[in-house]
Formats: sequence, structure tokens, C-alpha cells
Amino acid sequence: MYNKEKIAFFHELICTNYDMFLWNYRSDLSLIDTTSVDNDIIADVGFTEKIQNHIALGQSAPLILETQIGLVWIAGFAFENHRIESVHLIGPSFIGRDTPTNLLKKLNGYNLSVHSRSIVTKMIAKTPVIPSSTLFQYAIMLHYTLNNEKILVSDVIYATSDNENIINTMDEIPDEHNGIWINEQKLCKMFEDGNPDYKKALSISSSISSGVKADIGDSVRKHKNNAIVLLTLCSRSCMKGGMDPSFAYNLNDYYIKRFEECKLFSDVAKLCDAMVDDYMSHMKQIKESADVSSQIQSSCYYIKQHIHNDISIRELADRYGYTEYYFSHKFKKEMGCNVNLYILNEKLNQSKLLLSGTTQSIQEISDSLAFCNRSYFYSCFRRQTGISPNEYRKKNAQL
Amino acid sequence: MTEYLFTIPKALDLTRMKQIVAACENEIYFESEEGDRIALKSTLGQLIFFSMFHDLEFLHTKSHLRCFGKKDKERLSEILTLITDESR
Repeated sequence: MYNKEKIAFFHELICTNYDMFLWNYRSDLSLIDTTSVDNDIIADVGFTEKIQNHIALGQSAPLILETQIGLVWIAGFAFENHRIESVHLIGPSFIGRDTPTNLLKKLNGYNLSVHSRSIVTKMIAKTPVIPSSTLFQYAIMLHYTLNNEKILVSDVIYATSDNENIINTMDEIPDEHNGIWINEQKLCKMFEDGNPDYKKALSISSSISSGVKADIGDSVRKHKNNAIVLLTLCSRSCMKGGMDPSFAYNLNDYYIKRFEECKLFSDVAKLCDAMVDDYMSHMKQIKESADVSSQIQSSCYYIKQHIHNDISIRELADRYGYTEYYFSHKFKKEMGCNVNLYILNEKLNQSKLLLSGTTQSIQEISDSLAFCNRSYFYSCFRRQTGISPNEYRKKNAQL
Repeated sequence: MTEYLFTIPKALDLTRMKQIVAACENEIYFESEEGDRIALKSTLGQLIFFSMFHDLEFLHTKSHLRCFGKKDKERLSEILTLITDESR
């Protein structure tokens, strides 16, 4: 029999962070007790078959169970002498901050009365949102509580929604992929090397394959999926070729968001070209500055990403555990200019973009780039370009 | 098709109700005096209905379920009370 006090204590510990309920079942899935008013959650939500399959396959690891609307439970299994003794569910929760927001948006399609909407909204608001990493940690802890056995995150099983349909669909996907793998590898190598002939390789790849072959009945979605596959291949290859991972991942997330905002196939295609060009232009800089160490390259990316902040040498040095003196010296040796001058030049380059591409005032641009005052910005700009910010704007306006 | 209305009892076996709704041929609607009309075969519809289950007064006195066809009527009669028999 499972240790009642231990599981109750574990549940209490979880509830210090997230308000979730506990259900305790016998091995035949008959309910023992629960802290929730919803008695038989396994039957109510339709988890019976999934849990029975899990047990029938002899699997002892925790199971993450999810409904179609994004509510998630953790199922833990208590074993004694290799036989399942009890099943315990903790939940519900959402994974991902967007899930409850998306759910509330879907409710708009139901034209609920004020009374009903209020009840459902309160219920959704009460359900905690838990990061997936935390959920997996709780699953490991639940297993240990029940069985005194340590397991890994990779042991936790995510119950899939409809395995039979997936198997049937596999037969309908064309299995002709001749030549795709080798061309994909050539393309990835070009990304990794920052090879300027990548466009040729990309067009060869496009002529061999139009991407993911599964027909999902939505052509724009299909093109977005293809774009995200290409983005993933490109970003990982660039990291392999020396691009700072933090920068590559940030750019990856930026483009995923932009792809998802696209409404037409042509938008996706245009953005795809811009995405590859963006990664490749950065790879070109990396390859040209091959004598620059990864720490200094990384600090240059950091400066570019935080160009609107007041960046100190101390802050940059601390990132790598260097003293200010050592970092300054190393930066100057590898980049050929001191850190403050590099930061200033980057800010002035950014100011040129803002002057030519926006209607922001000189004061606003100066403030946004963390210059201490407008006069200082003005004098730095003039010293570098030979003309005032206003004169630059008149000559280069893109609006 | 003939429509049937059922009251929602104060003590309802939610698990059995879910099974019966899934087995029904046509859609089952939850309807309230305040204008709600929720299809119960969808997962989100069930979430809405089950989350309102804590307001028993509202469910019992100000709302009902609507089904279509004799077969579905017979299924739901197992756990619900028929109000009226409306013919189209």
C-alpha cells in the first residue's frame, strides 16, 4: 500500500507553489480519495484508456496526461514487488502562458452569458500555469515519493493523443525523399561555413523538395512549417560554425514569431529569404573576424542586443569572470579599438538607422540610446560623420 | 427532427453523463435562461458545463439540456428528467 502521509506531504509541498488537487486510485482505477470536488477525474476527463495502456505495457514511469484544451495532469504509479499498487494524479495545470489566454479567446465563440463567462473565467484563472520543466521535475519527485526510486526527466512519458490515427496517416505520406538528405547536409555545411554561395544550394534544395510532405490541408501552415524547419537547420548550423548560441536562439525566436504572424504564402517566402540572409550576414562577420575569441565575439553580440541600455565595461567583464582591466585589454587587442569606442560606434550606427527610418526627435533618439544628454550625442555624431544628426536625416530619410 | 428538453438534477453522475453524451447520435445542448447555448460534445463545451456544475441552483432552476431524436432522448432519460416533448 502506498504511504499516505508521504504522498499527502508531497501534495502539500507542491501546493505551496501551485494550487493543484490530488487523486488517489487503487490499481483497478477505482477512486480511494481526492482533495478535489471533481471525484473521478480519470473517467471524467477520459484518461482511463491511456492509463490502462500504460500499465498494460508494464511501464512504471510517471505519465503526463493532457486534454485537448491544454489542461495537464501528472500520473504517478506506486509499485510493490513489481506489481502496481496504486495510481495517483496531481493537477490540473496549464503548460505555457499562452494556453489560458488562447482558451479564453476560444470562449468568445460561445457567446456565453455574463454569469457563465464569469464562472468559467474564474475557473481558468484559478488553474496554475506551470513551466514544462517544472512539471517534469514534479513527475520525478512524485515517482520518488511513491517508490523511493530516482529517475531521469527522459524517463517521464508524455501520453500522446491518438496513436492509431498517426499510424494510419503514415501510410498516406509519400516515401520519396531521394536526394533530399544529401542536399540538406550540403546546405547545412554552407550555413556552418558562412559560404556566400548558400543561395545556390538553397535553390537546388527547393527544386528537389518542396519541404514537409505530409498534407495537412492548410497550405500557409505547411509553408510556415517548412520555414521553421529551415530556420532550425540554419540556426543550429550557424551555432556549429561559431555563432554565439544566445544570439542564434534569440534570432531563432524572433523569426518564429514573425513567421507565425504571416498571413500569406508570399509573406512566408519573403521572410524566409530575409531570415537566411540575416543569419548568413552574421556568419560572414564571424568568419571574417576569425581571430576574435568567442568571449569577445559574444560580448559584441551582447552590446548589439543591449544597444539601448547603458552598458558598462564592468558588466561585460563580469559575464566572463574577467577583471575590467583584463577584459579591456583583451577587447582592444582583438578588435583593434577600446570597448567604449566600440559601444559608441554601435550606438551611432543605430542612431543613423533611427534618423533615416523614423520620425523620432533627436532628443528621443539620444535618450533611447542612453546618451547622457542631447549635446553629447550631437557632438559624438558630428565627430564621426562630419555632419549634424539633422543634416544626416535630411540626406538619408527613407520615409 | 423532434426536440426534447431535460432538467438537470441536483445530483448528477458527471462521468455517466459524459459517456451518454458521447454515445448520442446528435448534438446535445446546454441552454440557460441567460442565453447560453453550449454544445456538449466538444471538449471545451464540456469544460464550460462542468465548471458551472458548482452552481447547482443555476443549473437546476435556470437551465436545461436539449437533445434531438428519440434514440438520444432514451439515452439521456437514464439520468435526466424529461420536461417537454416539442415537435417540429
